[in-house]
Amino acid sequence: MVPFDWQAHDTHFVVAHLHYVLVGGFVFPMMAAAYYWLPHITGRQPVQHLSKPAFWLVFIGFNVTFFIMHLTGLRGMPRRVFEYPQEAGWEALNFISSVGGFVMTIGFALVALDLIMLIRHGRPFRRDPWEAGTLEWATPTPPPSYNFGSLPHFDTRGDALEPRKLGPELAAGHGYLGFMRNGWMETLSVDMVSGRLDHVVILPRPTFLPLWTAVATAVFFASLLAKLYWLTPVAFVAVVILFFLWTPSTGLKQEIGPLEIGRGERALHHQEVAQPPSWWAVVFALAANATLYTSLVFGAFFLWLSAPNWPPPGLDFTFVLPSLVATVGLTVAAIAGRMANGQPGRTVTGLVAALVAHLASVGAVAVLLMSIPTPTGHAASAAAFAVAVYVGFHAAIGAVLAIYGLWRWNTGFIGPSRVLDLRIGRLWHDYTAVAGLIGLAFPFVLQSLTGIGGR
Amino acid sequence: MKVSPFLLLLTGFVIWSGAFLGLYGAQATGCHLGWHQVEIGPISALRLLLAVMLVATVSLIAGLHVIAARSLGEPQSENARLLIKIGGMLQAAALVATVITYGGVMWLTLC
Repeated sequence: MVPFDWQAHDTHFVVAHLHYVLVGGFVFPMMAAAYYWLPHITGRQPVQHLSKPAFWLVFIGFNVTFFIMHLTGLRGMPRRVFEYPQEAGWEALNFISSVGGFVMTIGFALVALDLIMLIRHGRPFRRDPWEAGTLEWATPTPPPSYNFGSLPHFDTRGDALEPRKLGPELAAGHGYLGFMRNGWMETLSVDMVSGRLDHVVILPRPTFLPLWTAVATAVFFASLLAKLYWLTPVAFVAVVILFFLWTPSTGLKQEIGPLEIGRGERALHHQEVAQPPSWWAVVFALAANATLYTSLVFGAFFLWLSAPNWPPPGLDFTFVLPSLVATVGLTVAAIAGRMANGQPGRTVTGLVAALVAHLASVGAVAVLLMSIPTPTGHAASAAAFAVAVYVGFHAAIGAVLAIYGLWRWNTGFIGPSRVLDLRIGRLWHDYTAVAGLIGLAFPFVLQSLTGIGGR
Repeated sequence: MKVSPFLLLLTGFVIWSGAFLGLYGAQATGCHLGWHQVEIGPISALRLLLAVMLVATVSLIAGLHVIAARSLGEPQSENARLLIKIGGMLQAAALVATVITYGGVMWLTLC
């Protein structure tokens, strides 16, 4: 295999192979998908059939261009060269590839032209032009902003439906949620294994807040890139406030119990169930966060083992008092977060305790950060500093979530069976306690290790 | 022992990835600190440590597979039964993956 590897690597053979995989596996399916679903998106059918010559031009052009490149590659032509000696003997093959390239380009131009013709001048057509078996064709075409007038119920596989019959029934409101109430945008959440009804999800009304949040988030990162560091905390505060402004629209001011959802069935509002999408979102965000954190800690230990200049001279990470205060703070916050359960008395006490404990942790971590010797001097100090910042940042967000809980309590969004906000906070407090205790132990472990393992 | 069926879906390959971190970390640490030069009987201390870690990982995943297989014998809801069945298969797949990917610590050159 060695001679073949040698011949194939970094030659035109690789370019040819890559494009065969890419065009065959990705570009053709994408074009097929465009031709399949554009009639759904536009509600139109093509009048001309430029697509057929376009297909053949792309197909032939692509094969002529890239099949030949296998041969130039096997004859030793390297990648990424724009000139080669005359004696190399690659001209004829490259010339054929170039011809193929022009043919393919004309083909893609025809595809583009055909799609523009379809979108601008196609013939308006009813729903489900292909007599497909899947649900998306049951909406009117082009689909209205709400997609389905009501949601269907089926107990068979979803690929042998009759959208042409199903569509008018759903449009007439004969499915679930075929009505409006309280100006809510509602949809259903189902069990992920059985598909049985679980609860009603109330979506936020259309608003520009996500856009402003995205702008503030972009400013946060851009300020770091542009070294406008004074702007970073401003943008961060703006992000937090904008996120919170978004929440009142999805809250519930009193317990409402199971809601009518049509077809004679009832289901709970998402604020009154155990695992709505927002709860799962925080679980998955924390899982991703934990991966990042593990990489950070692992990276420091990797440097201990493999980098030169370890142990660092005069390493001193003995800041026992602030670490102890932060340890107690994070633990108390997690326990207090569990105390807040939506009952009067316990909720406010628990949230205030969590807030105070988190603030104490933030203060202790700030002291700890100032005691780390020369964070820019050595990777060990830099790693200890980064991990401490991570812990302090999580405690700070924990404090913000405690304040959020108190605000939601005071505005009447929390009750004994409306504890979603508190449960989301609890996830964060628990994670912060576990990650924080590891992070607080980290500098001590690093210091004791550098003693035994330095080179 | 009663295990949540959903947990069974996750454990196999999470343990597998944890074992990757653990074995990789122990191998690098051991090489750095010279444990591969400490002889314990016919093998080095580092190989013994890695072998013990591998056996522990295999036993843990195999134990979860056995738990899944046993819970199938108990009365379960249809959903739970499906999840437990898939969970059991995932433990088996994780077990095979563990042996294939980490079995090398038994004979490959360590450092």
